[in-house]
Amino acid sequence: MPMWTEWCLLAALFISTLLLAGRQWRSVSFLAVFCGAALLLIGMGFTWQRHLQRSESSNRELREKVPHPEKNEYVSSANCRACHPDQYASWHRSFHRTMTQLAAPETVRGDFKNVVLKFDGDDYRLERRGKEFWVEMVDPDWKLVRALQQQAYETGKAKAPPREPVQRPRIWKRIDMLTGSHNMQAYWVAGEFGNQQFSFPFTFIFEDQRWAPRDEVFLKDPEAPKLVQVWNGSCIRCHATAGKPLQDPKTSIFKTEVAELGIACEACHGPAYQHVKSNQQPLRRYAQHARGHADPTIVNPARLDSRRSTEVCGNCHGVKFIRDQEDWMAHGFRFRPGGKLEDDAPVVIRLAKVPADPRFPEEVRKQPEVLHGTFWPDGMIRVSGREYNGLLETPCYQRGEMSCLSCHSMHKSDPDDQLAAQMEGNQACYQCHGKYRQTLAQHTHHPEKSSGSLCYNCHMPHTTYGLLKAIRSHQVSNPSVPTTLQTGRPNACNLCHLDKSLGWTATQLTQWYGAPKPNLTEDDQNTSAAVLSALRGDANQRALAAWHMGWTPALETSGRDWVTPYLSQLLTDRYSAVRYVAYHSLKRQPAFVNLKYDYLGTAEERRAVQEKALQLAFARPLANTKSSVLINSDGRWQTNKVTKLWLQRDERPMDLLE
Amino acid sequence: MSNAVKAQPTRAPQKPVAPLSHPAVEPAELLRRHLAFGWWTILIFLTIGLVLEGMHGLKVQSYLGVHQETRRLMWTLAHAHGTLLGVINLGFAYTLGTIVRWPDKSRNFASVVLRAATILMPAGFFLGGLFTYSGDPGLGILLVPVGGVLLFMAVFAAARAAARPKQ
Repeated sequence: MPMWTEWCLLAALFISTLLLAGRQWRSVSFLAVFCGAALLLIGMGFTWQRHLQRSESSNRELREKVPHPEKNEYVSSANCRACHPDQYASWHRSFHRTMTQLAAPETVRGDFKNVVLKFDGDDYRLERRGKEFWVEMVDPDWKLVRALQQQAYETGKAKAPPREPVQRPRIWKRIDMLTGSHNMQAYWVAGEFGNQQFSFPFTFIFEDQRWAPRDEVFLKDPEAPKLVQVWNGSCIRCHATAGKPLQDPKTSIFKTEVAELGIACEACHGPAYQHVKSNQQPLRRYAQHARGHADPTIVNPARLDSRRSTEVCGNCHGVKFIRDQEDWMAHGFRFRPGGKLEDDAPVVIRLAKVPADPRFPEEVRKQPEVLHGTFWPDGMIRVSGREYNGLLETPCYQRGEMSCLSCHSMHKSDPDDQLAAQMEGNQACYQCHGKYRQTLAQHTHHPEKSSGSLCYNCHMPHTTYGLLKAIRSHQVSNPSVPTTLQTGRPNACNLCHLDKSLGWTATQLTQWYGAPKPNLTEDDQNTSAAVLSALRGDANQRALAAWHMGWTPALETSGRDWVTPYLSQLLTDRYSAVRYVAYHSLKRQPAFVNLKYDYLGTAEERRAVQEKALQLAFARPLANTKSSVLINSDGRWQTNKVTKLWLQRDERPMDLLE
Repeated sequence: MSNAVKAQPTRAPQKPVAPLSHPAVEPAELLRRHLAFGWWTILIFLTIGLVLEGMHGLKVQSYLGVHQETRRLMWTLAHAHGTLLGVINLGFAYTLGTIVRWPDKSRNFASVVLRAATILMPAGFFLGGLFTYSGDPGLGILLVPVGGVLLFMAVFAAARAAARPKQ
C-alpha cells in the first residue's frame, strides 16, 4: 500500500484531536502545542519515510537476486515458532540455521572496512555502505562467459575467443548471501543469469580474523585449477532447505527456489504446509495433545526407526552421486524426511560397492580411486560433513542399534557439536556396551580417567579432515596396524602416542587383543608413525600429523618439545592447508606463542620464519628425546634421516572434497 | 437576636460576558466525559485484546509469523497502552471530583490533552503495526511520541493540581 495512505490516516487521527478540543482550540496554549506537534510530526514523518523507502528498496533488490522462496509444500520456519517456541529457539541458536544467510550487519563477520585483497592477479576492493556490503571486482559474468568460450574452443566446439582486453571489465557487486558462521564465512555476489550467485573468491577465517582465498582454505593441490563456484548448483544441495536449482538448460538462466536459506525446521521434519494448515484449528491441536500420538501431518525424526532417522541427516551428511543431472536441476532432491534415502535419484556413495553398482558410470566403476579425494582407500570417509557415510560402514548402525540421535540432539544440546547431554564421554557407548562400565581399565589397558580410556579416542579418532582441522571419524572402528599400512590412515594409538612407531603399536595390540602382527619395514618398526606421516606422508597425512602435534591429549602422552622442529619443517609445505594447521599447532607451544607467520606469505617469507622457528626449537636441547622421533640423546635432530624421509615425501596431487 | 433578615443590596443583572478564549467546562461535565471516555476506551481495547487472542488461538501467521515480529509488538503495545490509558481516564475523572482548587484553564487543558493522548498513542502503535517495512514500523508510529508528550502534559497538570494545598 502506498505511503500516502498512511499520511492520510495520520492526518485524520491528528485532526481528530483538534476536534476533541471543541472550542478549546481558540486557547493560545492549546494552539501552540497543537501547531508545534503538527510541525514535529511532519518533519519526523518525512525523515522516517525516507529511511523506510531506502531500506525497502535495498531489501527488494536483494530479494530479487537471491534464491526465491518455494511456496507449494513448504512454509518456512517463520511459521513454526508460534506453536514450537522452545524448538524454534534451540534451532535459532544452531549453526544449521546460519549456514546460509542474507548479508546484513548482524550476519557478516568479515572485515569490510575499505579493505583491498589480491588474488590470481586481480584486486578486490571491499567496502560497507550503510547496511550493505560491496566489492569491486572483475565482472564474474564476464569471467564465466570467457571461461565457457575457452572451454568450447578447447573441445573444438567453437573458434578461439577474442583476445583478453588489457583492462578486464570491473564492476561493483553487492554481497548478497554468506555461508558459514562457525569457523569461517564465504560470500556470494549476484550474476546476470537470473538469481545466480557467484562465489566471492575469499573466505574470512574467524580464528585468525583474516581473509584467505577460497582455494587456500581447502586441502587442495596448489597446481590445480582455481575454484569457480556457483551457489545455485553446488552449495544449494545442503546449505539450504529443499533447494531446487531450476536452471533453464537453453538460456542458462537460474530461477532457483529454496524453502529457506540455511538448514531449517523442514529440512528434518519435512514440508509442513499440511501440518500448519491442519493445526490452525485449536480443537484439533488439543485433541492431538490429549491423544498423545505422533501427528501424522509432520515427521519427527526422533520417532522414526534408527535407519530412517539417520537418513534424515544422511540426506546432507552423506556423499551423493547425482545420476540424473536434469532431474536434479528441475526438482532438487526428491528425498523427504521419513522416506527411504536409497529411493532418491542421487545415490549415496559407498566406495566398496561402487565397482559392482551399475548406477555409477563405467569410468568410475573401473577406477574407484577417482573417489579417493573423499574416501580413504578402504572406503572410510576422509572429509568432514559426511558422517552418514561413516555410520553406514559401522556395525552398530548396521545392526539397527545406532542412529545419529544416539549421541546427538538437535534441540537439547550445545550448538558446537550438538552432542546430547552426557554424550561427551563414555556414556555414549555405555548405552549399548554397558559391560565396559565395570571393566574399562581392563579393556583399554589405560587408567580409567585417562584419555586412553575415552572410547571416542580409540574408536572414533580424528582421521577426518575439514575446515582446516582434524575431526573425529564417524565410522566406529578398532585401531589396526594392517589397516594403516594398507590405507595410509593413521591409527588411533599412534595419533595419541605420537612418539611411538607402528611396530610398538603392533606389539601392544598383539599383546592386549591378540591382533595379528604384520610385517613391517625398518622405518615402520623403529620410527614414530607421526614423524613418518609428517615427513613422508601425503598432504592429508601431513595435515593430520600436524594437527595431532597440537592436540593436548597427544602432547600430554608423548611430550611437547620434540614436535616443534617437525611443525617448523611443515611451515614450508607445498599445501597451504598443511602450513596453516602446522602453524596453529606450533602456536600452542609456549615458546612459539609470539611467532608471527603468514601461511599465505611468499616462499621466502615462509622460509625465513621456518628458520627462526627451527632456531627456537633447538635453542636448548630438547627434553625427553627418543631415537624413535629422530632426536639424538644430545637433543639434536638426526638431520640425515630427517632429510632422507623429507625427500621421500608423497607428492601425489591431493584434493580433499569437503 | 433579631429574626429580621437584613435586606441585601440588590445588584443589577450582569450583562452577558463574551466567551473566554478558553471557555471553562463544568467539572461535573468533565468528570462525566472522562468516565465515559475511559470506559469506552477500555471496552474498545478489551475487544482488540480478544481479537489478538483469537489470532493466537487460530495461529494466524500474518500476526504470529516470525517476519511479523514488528506487527505483533506494535499491536500488543497498542492493546496495552489503550487499556492503560482508559484506566488513566477513569483516574482522571476521580481526580476531577476530588480536587477542588484546580484552575479552569489548566483543568480543561489537561482534559483535552489526556483524551488526545488516549487516541494518539494506541492508534500510533496500531498504525505502525498495520504497515511494516522490513522490521520497521510504518509512519503511524510517529503519533506515539506526540501522544506521549501530551500524556506527560496531562499527568503533569493533574499532579500539580493534586499537590496544591486545599486552602
